[in-house]
Amino acid sequence: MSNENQDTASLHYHGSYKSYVWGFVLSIVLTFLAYFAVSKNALSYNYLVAFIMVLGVIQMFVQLQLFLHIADEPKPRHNIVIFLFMMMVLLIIVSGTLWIMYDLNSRVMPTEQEMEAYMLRHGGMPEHDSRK
Amino acid sequence: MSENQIVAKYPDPHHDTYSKAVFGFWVYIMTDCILFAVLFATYAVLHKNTFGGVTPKEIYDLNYALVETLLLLTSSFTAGIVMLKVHKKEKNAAIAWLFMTFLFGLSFVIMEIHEFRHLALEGHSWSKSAFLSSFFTLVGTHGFHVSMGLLWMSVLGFQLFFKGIKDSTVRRLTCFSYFWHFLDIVWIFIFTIVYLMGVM
Repeated sequence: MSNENQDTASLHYHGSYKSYVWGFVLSIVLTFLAYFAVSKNALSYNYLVAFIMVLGVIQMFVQLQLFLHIADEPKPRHNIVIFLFMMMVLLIIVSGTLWIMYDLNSRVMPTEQEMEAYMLRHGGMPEHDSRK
Repeated sequence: MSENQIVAKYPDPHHDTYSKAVFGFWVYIMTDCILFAVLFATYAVLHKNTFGGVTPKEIYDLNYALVETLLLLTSSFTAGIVMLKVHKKEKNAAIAWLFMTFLFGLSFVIMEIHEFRHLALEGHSWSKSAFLSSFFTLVGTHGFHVSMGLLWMSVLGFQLFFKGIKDSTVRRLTCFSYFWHFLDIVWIFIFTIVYLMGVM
């Protein structure tokens, strides 16, 4: 039992005060960057969305390494393999869902508001739908 | 390369109880990511379907959400310090930092319950529109996870106090810390996709 203690103790990749403090500080900075970008409306809509999404992804990686020490596990890095597999499944499910629902939505009759908005922007009814 | 050569090149020492438990728990966390991803996808599809009712912009308080974010982030930080204290065998310090983690986590949950209660009392409950339904499900599922974490944390606090730093308590605290850090990562995306994008 005590032998197992010795072995498992060396397998605890638990980081250092440095990693947690840096993780904390970087996360705060990234959070406030996104917060101020939005509250001051610093960029046009699409750029703002991209900006805060990128900041969020960066913060995720910061916490994955500095809090969770994901890359500290020695080879074979089973945890990273499983993580990458999860990301692949996730991307398929999320992008597939968004694509399918967007496509379905475009095949449904528009609402009054959507018709009004369309007519205001295009100055009249839609042209004949060539998709039929 | 033969199988023997591969095994020799990448020796896998992870056959002890600790490693197996921690890896198994990590796999569970990965499945929980899929759960949240699906709830995010649902919110993305339905957040504009307000059924003539309130829109995100009308009900979200960004400053309130920022405070929640900082509380949860701080609790994720203190949870990390717990593990450092545990590995240095400083039992009392570990318990103290675990208690700090609990307090910050509890503050987060109290704020979130207050937010939900306020919305419900104003008539904006989860059955009023697809938007509200997807909002409460996504954010509520996260809040439920945090609440379960608080319960788990209290049990671990008692176990640490009475049993001390043993193989079993270290293993459980490690799994808990994975859970707690993961919840903060999910919240990053809730703050970004729900609240930040909601008020833009």
